[in-house]
Amino acid sequence: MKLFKFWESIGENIKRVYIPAHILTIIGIITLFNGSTELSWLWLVYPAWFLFGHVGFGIFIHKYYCHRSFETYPWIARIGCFLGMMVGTGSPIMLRVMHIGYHHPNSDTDLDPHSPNRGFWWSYFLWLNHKWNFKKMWLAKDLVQDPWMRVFHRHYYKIYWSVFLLLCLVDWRLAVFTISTATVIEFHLSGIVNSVGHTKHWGSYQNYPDVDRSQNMPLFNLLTLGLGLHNNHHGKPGEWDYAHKPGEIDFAKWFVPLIMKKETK
Amino acid sequence: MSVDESRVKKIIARQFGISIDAVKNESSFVNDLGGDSLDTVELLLEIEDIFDIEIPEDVAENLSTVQEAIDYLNSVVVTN
Repeated sequence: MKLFKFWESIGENIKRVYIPAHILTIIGIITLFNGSTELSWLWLVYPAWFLFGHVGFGIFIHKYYCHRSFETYPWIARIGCFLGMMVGTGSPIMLRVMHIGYHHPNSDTDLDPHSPNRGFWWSYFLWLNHKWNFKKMWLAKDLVQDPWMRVFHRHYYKIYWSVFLLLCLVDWRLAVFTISTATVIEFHLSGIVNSVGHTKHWGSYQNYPDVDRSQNMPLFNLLTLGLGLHNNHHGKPGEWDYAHKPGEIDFAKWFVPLIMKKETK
Repeated sequence: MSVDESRVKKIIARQFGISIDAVKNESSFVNDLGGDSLDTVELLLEIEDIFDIEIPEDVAENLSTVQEAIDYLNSVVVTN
């Protein structure tokens, strides 16, 4: 009974995506150690995260669907969104409401859903266990008008696991070392951004100190090519290029002009 | 003159895929009619379209029952 109650208290996304993805990734790693999987499968991990996590989630779902920071062609955006769904962070409709309705306007206050004010692990992942009742759904009305976004929202988990199973038909390791690992990596990168990225620490700096406590993290940015410039993002949330000063790198600087129709902000 | 309540209820019933008899004035879209937050947004978009109005954000996030929708429509459609 206690176990059941504990399971019930866990957030949907953690139960349906993050726990299974972590288990599958651990199984994948075990098979690497016992020799049943060749180490060459690891070459897929970073490119898969880059495609699903950085391009799909970061550029299309976050920068395009959440912040509308550039304009592109609808079919390109939908394909990008579909790729971004493979890191299991939730539907664009939900993310838009959470981002521009709650996180950005209330960053680092008690109204921020994942503020480190409530503790490091709260901002890292425990906030996902809370049964949020986001009332500001109207902020996503333009997305709700797109039938594809409604399908992505209503059938999020079915789509995610269907793609996983389709890849399993080719080879289970293809599914694990692309989708599962990308999901696990994105989970931890988001956790780091929400926690460490909102706490002053060694090496971090702010270009926009008056906005909130968000930080730019140069070493983290070298690995993620844009995700580490979090203070720049909070300083100017409507901009798709997070590199605002010389020496700062955002992959979007090269990618977005290739798909952009015209700049909106 | 006020809005035709049965017309509003018919729109709500169609959106939620239920019989019009199940739509009571005091019904909550989510708690009583089986909708979710996305259904509610779709319903309000439909209402905007049919009544040719634009619902402001602060109003939309507080419309959660049939009566609230009727009251809001009475306040804008009739005034207009």
